Amino acid sequence: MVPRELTDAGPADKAEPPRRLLPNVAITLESPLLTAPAVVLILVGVFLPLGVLAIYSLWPTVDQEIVRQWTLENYQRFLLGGPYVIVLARSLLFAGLASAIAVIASFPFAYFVATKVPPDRRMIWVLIAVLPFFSSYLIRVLAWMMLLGDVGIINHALMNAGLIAEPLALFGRNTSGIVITFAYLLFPLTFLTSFITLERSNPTLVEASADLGARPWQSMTQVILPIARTGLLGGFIFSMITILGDYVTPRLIGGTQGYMYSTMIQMQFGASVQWGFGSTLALILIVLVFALLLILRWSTGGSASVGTFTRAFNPTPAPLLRAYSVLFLAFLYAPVALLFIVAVNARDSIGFPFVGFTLKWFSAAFGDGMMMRSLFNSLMVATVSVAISIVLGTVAAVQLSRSAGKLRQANLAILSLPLFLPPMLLGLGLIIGLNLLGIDRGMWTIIFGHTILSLPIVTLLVLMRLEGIDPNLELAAMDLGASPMWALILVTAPQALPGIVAAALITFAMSMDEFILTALVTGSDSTLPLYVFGQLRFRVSPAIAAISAVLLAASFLMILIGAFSFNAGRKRGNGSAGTVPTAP
Amino acid sequence: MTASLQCINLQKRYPGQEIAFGETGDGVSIEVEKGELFALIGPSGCGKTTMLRLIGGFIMPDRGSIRIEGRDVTALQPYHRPTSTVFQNYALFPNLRLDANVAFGLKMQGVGQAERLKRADEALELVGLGGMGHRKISELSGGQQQRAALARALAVKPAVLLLDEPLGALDLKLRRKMQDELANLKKETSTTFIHVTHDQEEACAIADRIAVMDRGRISQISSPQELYTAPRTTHVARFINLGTIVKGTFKRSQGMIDLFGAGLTLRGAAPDWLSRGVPIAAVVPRSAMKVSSGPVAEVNAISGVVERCVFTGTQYDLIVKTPADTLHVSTGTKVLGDLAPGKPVSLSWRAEDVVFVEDTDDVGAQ
Repeated sequence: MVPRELTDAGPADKAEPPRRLLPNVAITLESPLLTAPAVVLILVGVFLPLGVLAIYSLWPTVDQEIVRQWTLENYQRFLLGGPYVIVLARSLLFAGLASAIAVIASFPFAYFVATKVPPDRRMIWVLIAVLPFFSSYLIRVLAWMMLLGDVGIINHALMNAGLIAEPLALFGRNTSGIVITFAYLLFPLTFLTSFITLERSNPTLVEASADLGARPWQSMTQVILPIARTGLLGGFIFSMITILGDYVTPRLIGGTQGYMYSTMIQMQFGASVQWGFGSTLALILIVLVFALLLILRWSTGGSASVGTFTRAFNPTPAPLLRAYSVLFLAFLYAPVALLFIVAVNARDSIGFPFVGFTLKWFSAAFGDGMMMRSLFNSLMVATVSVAISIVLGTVAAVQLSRSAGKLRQANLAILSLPLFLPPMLLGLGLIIGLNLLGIDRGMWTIIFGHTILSLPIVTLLVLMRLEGIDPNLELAAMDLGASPMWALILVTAPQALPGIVAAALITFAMSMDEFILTALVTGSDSTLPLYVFGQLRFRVSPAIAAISAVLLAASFLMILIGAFSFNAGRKRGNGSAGTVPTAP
Repeated sequence: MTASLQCINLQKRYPGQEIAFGETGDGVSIEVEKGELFALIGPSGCGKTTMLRLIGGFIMPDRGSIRIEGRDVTALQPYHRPTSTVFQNYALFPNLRLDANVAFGLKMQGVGQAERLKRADEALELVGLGGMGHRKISELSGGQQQRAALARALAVKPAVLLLDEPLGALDLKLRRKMQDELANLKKETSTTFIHVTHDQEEACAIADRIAVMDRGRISQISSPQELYTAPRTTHVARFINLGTIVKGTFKRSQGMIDLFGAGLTLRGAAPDWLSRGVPIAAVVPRSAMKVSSGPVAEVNAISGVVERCVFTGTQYDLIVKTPADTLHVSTGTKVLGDLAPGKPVSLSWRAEDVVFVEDTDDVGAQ
């Protein structure tokens, strides 16, 4: 789940930039045909399969075979035939709880970064906080698997220290463990959504409310929270959607207690082979996701900032808030750091104490032929899917940046939709579509699935970059005698390039780490995350930690380079008054 | 009667800041009478906004105290002070309607809903936004937002109203109109106004008294008229763009000063406030200079060559190149005859027009 705002590092101007008026400016670049391949790919890969899913939900399954016979019996079964409604309600409650914790706990940190960190250092803080979100999901779950449980590192350490006699259930592999893990996984997301709205609001508003007699808590409830509600609610809803679509984490962390709606859906397509009923459950989830998005739409807006304001940076010191923020970051990185320590610990099992430095787990991991084959598959999938996404997405973005009107809106909506759907639903859609057509799965289905995930991100990132370029630059080039095509190549392309490079690196890293969709659409092929998952089912060994550490380091590096290149040369145009404390 | 606002020996240093506010001497002190409109002017970074923020309670002074109507408010938070501010960018709450914005301060005081809305309406009426209370902030124009911010600040009936360049974002015509309205508002309310601006014309048009600030200090506090007829320092004279500043060696005798600049001698009366031992500069107001073609007198005159004649819309300005400096001369509205570029002219002025000021140009380097 990557909401559109996630990739938006600067204040995106929602107002349409002035469109080019000259009709003869690169007619070829404005042709809707350029956007067509990307749109068709998403239509075929997302919309069509979801349509098929809706049809399947109306067909019964008899003897593990789908029967083409219209009936509502799947829906009857959902409502009456078992614990399904209760499981759904429990999952919703649970997702709501974990999301609420994530939003509430990350808000003080977001508030600190948005109001107390000097503007020139804010980007670094944001990057540090958001980095884990783009790194391997599965591996971050693995880190928590090591930490939780009766013999997990936390309980073990607490008992060794003599603080507790019995393992604490709070840190067990149970419901509380899942809540902690999910809140942890979603912190970067909820931080970012809160941060963006806080950062865009006028800092003088808090002073104005204090000036009018509001105590600090009144300023918070009457002014700050109402203004930030878009971000808070956005973070909450996207967290809920992510949790509802995640069938791996509950299973890895929760054992038998990890029985959630998502795992129930996945089982229908796995062991139970109940495709019709599974489609019904999935369709209900889709309806829920859209309902959540609608709630978000209805209850936000109307708090756009008014007027222009110089961002005079004049904070009062907040030692408590600063301490909280540092602890927050420490919490965000501690599990990841532990993973690295475990990977070089000479002990034969996961845990402490640290008995000596070794690289044997790395050589053990890389000596495994199965693992190397999986790595090769992952690299191939990432390379091909990113290449396709970059070509189709960039071409589409060039056209979208030069057009206006309903067609553009529709195309943008189609291309953004996959960002709002959990990857599980995209994966289910794909396998159902293939099932209907009777096509066998294979490597290419993984590549296709990853392309569907990457294409929207590439398109939106490049589009954002293109829209940030002054349209007068191209006009100036043409004024000086460049043809439209040359203006694009000589002026626009060099400026858009960092955006393209960033998109490539970020989607590559995400593809290397993708598990949820991959596990559904794969035939018999293994990718690295699938291999890691397979290993996890037997035993969490230090060798797995070693592979994970390598993967994590690689994706951190790629995302960092991507983020810096996206920002390179991007002018800071939001009127930052810098660190000069006296803005006269 | 106690003063409405007293700032006594205020000092404030921001970390990493070169020039601290009020660091030289005893800090910054001002005293403002009830109902007075007091303007703070000065160039960017002179400390006028710091002054306003200190009074509003958004920052705490390192030293010194602030009293409002006799009560020491130095340690009070903004929400406990009887001040309210009209912010430069208005800082209207985008999530609230206009009337809720104006009623915000009353709500914080615990005023009931009905009373609150009534008084919000009154405040809106006062600034000419009557009947628009239901509007969203984003539906207001720049000038309306300015009035809304004013109404919000006035609704709580503050003892001291702080205005931080409130007219800065408006176009010239609207700004002049709002100046008139501010002056009227001051008459209708008995509130004390502290008005920060970098526009000396705006300050002159509405203020009872003006404080000119320079590098964290107050250079002069006086009426607008006095500011122009008797500036105290080179900084003040330069900031109000009074005329040509001449420096040189000088000699005092019997209440008169002779100042010998490069290629000219100035003579005029020594102002009584000017103590001995301070560096002195002379100012020749641009409107005091007479243009002629006759011979040049020994004192209070200089010859030069016309470089350019500029029509500024309301008057003619003559730019004359002299051995001392390039002088700007305001010649009033009269149309000048034969003053083509290159023509030699002589400039002269009366001894009573020469203004002697303290030369403060090097003070910042201390």
